[in-house]
Amino acid sequence: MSTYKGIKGFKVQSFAADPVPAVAGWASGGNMSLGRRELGAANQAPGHSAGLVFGGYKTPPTGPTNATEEYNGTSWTSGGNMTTSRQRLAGAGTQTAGLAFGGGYPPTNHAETEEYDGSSWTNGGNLGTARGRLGGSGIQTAGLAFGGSTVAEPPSKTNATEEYDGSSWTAGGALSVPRFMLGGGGTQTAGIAFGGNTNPPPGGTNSTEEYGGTSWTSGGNLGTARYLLSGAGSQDAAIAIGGNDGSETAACELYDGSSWSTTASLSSAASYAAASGSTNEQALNMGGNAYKTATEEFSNFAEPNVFRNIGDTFYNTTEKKFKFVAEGPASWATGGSLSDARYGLWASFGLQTAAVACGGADSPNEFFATTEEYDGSSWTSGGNIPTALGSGGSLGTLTAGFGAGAYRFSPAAKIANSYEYDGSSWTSGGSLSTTRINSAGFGTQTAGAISGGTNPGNTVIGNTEEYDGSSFSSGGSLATSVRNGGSAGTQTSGIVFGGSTGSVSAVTQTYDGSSFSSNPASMNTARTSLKSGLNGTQTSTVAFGGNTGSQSNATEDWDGTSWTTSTALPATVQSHGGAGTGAAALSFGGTSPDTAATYEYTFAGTAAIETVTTS
Amino acid sequence: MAYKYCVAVNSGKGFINARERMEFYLSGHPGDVWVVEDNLYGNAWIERNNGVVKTKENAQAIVDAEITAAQSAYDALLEEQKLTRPRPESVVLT
Repeated sequence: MSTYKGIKGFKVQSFAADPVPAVAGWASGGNMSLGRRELGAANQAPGHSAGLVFGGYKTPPTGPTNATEEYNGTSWTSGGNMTTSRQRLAGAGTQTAGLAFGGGYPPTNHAETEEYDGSSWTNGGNLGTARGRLGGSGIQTAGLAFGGSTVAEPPSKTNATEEYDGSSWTAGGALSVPRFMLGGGGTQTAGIAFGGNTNPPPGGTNSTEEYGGTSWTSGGNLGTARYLLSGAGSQDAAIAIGGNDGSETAACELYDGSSWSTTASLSSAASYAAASGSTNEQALNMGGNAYKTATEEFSNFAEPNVFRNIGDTFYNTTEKKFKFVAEGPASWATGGSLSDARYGLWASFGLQTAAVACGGADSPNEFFATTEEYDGSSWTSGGNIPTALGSGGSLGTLTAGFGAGAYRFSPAAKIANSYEYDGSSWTSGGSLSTTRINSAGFGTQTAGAISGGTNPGNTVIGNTEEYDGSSFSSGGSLATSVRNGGSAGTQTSGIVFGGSTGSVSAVTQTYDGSSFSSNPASMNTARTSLKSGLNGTQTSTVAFGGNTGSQSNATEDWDGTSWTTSTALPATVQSHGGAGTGAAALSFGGTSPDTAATYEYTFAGTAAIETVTTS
Repeated sequence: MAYKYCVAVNSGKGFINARERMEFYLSGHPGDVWVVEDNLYGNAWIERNNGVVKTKENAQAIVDAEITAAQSAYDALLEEQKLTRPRPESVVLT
């Protein structure tokens, strides 16, 4: 019989679920109806969607409870009540085949065992040693009870182990380290016990022991000794959750069968809680001190779920769909921050990995003549302009940059000067015929264009001046006069978009080297004081941030035909700097409040899973 | 959608990566306050960046204090200087 590998030359992997990025962490689940601590849980209930809790010491009016709740991955619903209300009990099994045993507060120690069938509890055989604060694991017909205490103060610790066969308990091998308030997991023939309190002497232990069905042997020690922890998983894939290591802790550790390693912490510290999970890939932690109702869901996606490289193909056996990992949506990431938070930059240009930020101001009144250069990871000092300037029009690259028109901070005035940058220093260029600020620049240092802006009378203007590397000459005027617009392209194939006409604009305007024309495709979000992938083209750039009436983080991609809303900047910003192209842009600085943050935009590069279709 | 509120200092490169930006809602605000979607990836991001989780009310108070200070600084500017920048706006956290 032919195989896919035989025909195509490679084998397609199958997964029950779409692979997800490798990450370990906790997420909030639904809250239990009843806040409680010292509760029991079906220790081996797998995953996030089949949890079971029972008993515990409930929220005021306080006291032992017999309440049972079932979890479906989203919310808890009431199950049948246990026959015997109790706290400090242990649990095993699953949501539809659960086991509750032991518990109590001395001198009323419980030996009772109850079995759950998914709706109601029935009595099973009693433990040989009544005890509370014990560990439990296994399944309903093959349970395991270990450790615990029989006297409250001072507590009497025990090393007793008992095995359940579905009707009665028999003695198993004793723990080497007697303890109570411990965590555990695994099965009757491959169990694990970890942590706990050895009082006396008081305090937590880091001891781990593994059960082979008849006796316990030492495993790797916990990184942090603790008690009142919760635990779940299997003998070679266990999780230790929270507890008390001198104080209540959120710290968690994963066991691989020989050693423990730190993993993501709970969202908040928890002790006196209960946990479930058949492995340490997915677990639940419920309730805890202060009568918590909280549920936290742990996920540990590692191999093979890192199977998410662009181009990977796989078969989802649950959905019965053939899928592949494609380039995902565009996204923003943080870059190195500017040395100085600054807004109203005089000039910003270049590429994502070779950008320039120059001039601007910060609050309350610090004005900059300084330049910073970005190399793709950090900013370093470049050459200074002669005096502190803001709000110019700019274009070009790190080694051939240009800025024209400015607001000079001191003495305050709008000026027509221009300056050229060579990657290390600024030199004077020709002056604009029309003094202006907040113009849109595009093109190169020797073939550039400065369009629109605001003149000294604070009127929004539309004329363009073209620069040839030494002087300006008149170009075509904007179809719609704007200031603070975004821009990209070349002197003969430019584009200006957004800005303010007195009110925010969404107009897209293209330049052919002699005249502007309005493009019928307006931006989705009208705005001013935005920035763009300045070194993009007339048919490919990106617009980001600005002011729409309020400060914005909106991002839009331009493909020459239409604007498409993309992933927003992580934070709103305006009067910032911009550089790069439509595929790899850069946002830096801005206000408000003033920021030094840099964000890098990548049009494609994240991975997204798509389904193969026939159409 | 449930959110968490935390204070985390933008450490620059790597503070947020492109994949994280796609995997959970995130918005930054004055005072290093971040509103983060309460899911696996959001919580992992908070932990990776040593974020200090706040209540929504406490986070809002931090943002309000920052904006109030920024507005006071703005109001103290000369009228001509005000023309070059916007007055900081109040922010109501999601």
